Amino acid sequence: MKLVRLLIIFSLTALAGLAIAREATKPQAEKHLRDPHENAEHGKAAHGKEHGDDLGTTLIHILEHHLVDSDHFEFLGFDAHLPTIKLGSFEFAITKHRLWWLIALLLMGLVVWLASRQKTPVPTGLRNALESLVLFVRNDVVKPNLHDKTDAFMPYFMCLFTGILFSNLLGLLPWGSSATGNVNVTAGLAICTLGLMVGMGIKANGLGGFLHIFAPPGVPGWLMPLMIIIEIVSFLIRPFALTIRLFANMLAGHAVLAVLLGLIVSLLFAAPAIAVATGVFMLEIIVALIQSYIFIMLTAVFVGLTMHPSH
Amino acid sequence: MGLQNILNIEPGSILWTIVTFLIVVWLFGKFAWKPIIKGLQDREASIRNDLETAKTEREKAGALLDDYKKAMANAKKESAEIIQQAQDHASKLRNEAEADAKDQAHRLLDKARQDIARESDAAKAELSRHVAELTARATSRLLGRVIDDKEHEKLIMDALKEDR
Repeated sequence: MKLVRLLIIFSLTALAGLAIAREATKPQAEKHLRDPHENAEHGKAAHGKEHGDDLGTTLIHILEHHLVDSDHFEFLGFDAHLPTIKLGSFEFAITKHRLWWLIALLLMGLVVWLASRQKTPVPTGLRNALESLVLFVRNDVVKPNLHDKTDAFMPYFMCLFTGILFSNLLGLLPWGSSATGNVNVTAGLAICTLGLMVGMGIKANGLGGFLHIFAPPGVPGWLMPLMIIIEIVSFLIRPFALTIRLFANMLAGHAVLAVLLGLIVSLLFAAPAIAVATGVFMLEIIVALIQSYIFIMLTAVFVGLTMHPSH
Repeated sequence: MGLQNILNIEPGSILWTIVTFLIVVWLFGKFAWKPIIKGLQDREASIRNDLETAKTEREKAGALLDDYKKAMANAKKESAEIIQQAQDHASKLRNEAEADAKDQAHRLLDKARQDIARESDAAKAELSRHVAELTARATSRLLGRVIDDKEHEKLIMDALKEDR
C-alpha cells in the first residue's frame, strides 16, 4: 500500500515537473522572439533554437537564464524589467542578483528583528532557534579565533552568517535566485573580510607589527624577498579563496539542478530526473548551510591569524 | 549576457554588496542581533550568578545547620544536666523530709513515753499515798485511837520503804 501511494505521488510529481519544465523552456524562446528589445545573446539563443531545437541549446539557455545576472526580475510568473538609476554621469543598474542580495539581507533583518522583540525571560520559537545559532557561532566559530574580541564581533558574524545563509536558501525557492551564486557578491563579502583582516591586524599589532607577518623572523636574508612575495600572495589568496569557494558552490548546485530539470524532454525522463533533482535539492540545503558556516569560520580564522600572528 | 560572462568582475556589484552589507551590519547588528546576543549574555550571567548565589547560600545553610545541630546537642546536654540536678535535689529533699519525719515521730514517741512514765509514777505515788492514808485510817480505827496523821504517815511510808 505504501509503495503504491508513493508511486502515485511520484508520478504526479513527475507530471507536474514535466509541465513546469515545458513551461519554463518553451515560452522563453517565444518571449524572446516577441521582445524587440532583446539583446544580442538572447537573439543568438533564440536563433539557435530556431535552427535546431536540440537539447544542448535549450540547456545552455536554461543555465543562462538561471545563473547569469540579468535585468529581469521574475516572481510568481510576474516579470519586471529592472530600472537603471542615473545620477548625472553615474549609472547604477539594479540587476537580479543585486536585488536578491538586498532581499536576502532585508528578509534576514526582518526575521531577526521580529525575533528580537520577544521579551520573555525564557525565549521560545524563533528567538530560541536564533539563540542556538548565536551560541554555535560564538562558541565554535568566533571565540576560538578572536578570544576577548568575541562580543564586539558577534553582530558582524551573525549578519554575515545569516545573510549568506538567507541568500543561499533563496536560490532554492521557485523563481528565487542566489545572489551568492554571483562572483561579485562573494567578492564583496570577501573584501569585507580582507578589510577586517588588515584593519584588526593593524589595530591589534600596530602597522609595524602587522607588516611583520609578511617578513617572518628567522628567515635567511637571501630568502627574504621570495618570502615576502609568498606571504603577500598567501595573505591575498585567502579572501580570493573565500570568494571562489562560496560562488562556485552555489553556482554548481544551481547548475546541476537546472541541468537535471532541463533534461526533462519527455515523460520517460521526468521521473528519474526529478528523483535525482530532489536528492540534489536536499544536498543543496545542506550545502547552503555548510558554505555559510565555512565562510564565517574562515573569516574568523583569517582575522584571528592576522591579530595573533605568532602561531 | 551569456554563460561566458559568469566570471565577469563588475565593480558596481562588488560595491553594492559591500555597501548594503555594511549598512545591514550596522543597522541589524545594532537593532536586531544585539538584543538577542545581549539577552543571551544577560541570561548566561544571571544563571551563573544564580548558581554562585545558590552555592554560597547552600554553604551558609550548611554552616547554619551545623550551628543549630551543635546548639541542639548543647541544649540536650544541658537539659539532661538540669533534670539530673532536679532529680538529685528532689531525692535529697525527700530523704531529708523522711529523716525529719522519722526524727519527729521518735521525739513525739519518746515524749509520750516520758509523759506516760511520769503520769504513771505520779499515779503510783498518788495511789501509794492514798493507800497509806487508807491504811492509816483503817489501822487507827482498828487500834482505836487516833494517831497523828503525820506520824502515822511517816511510819507507814517507812514501812512501805522497807517493803520495797
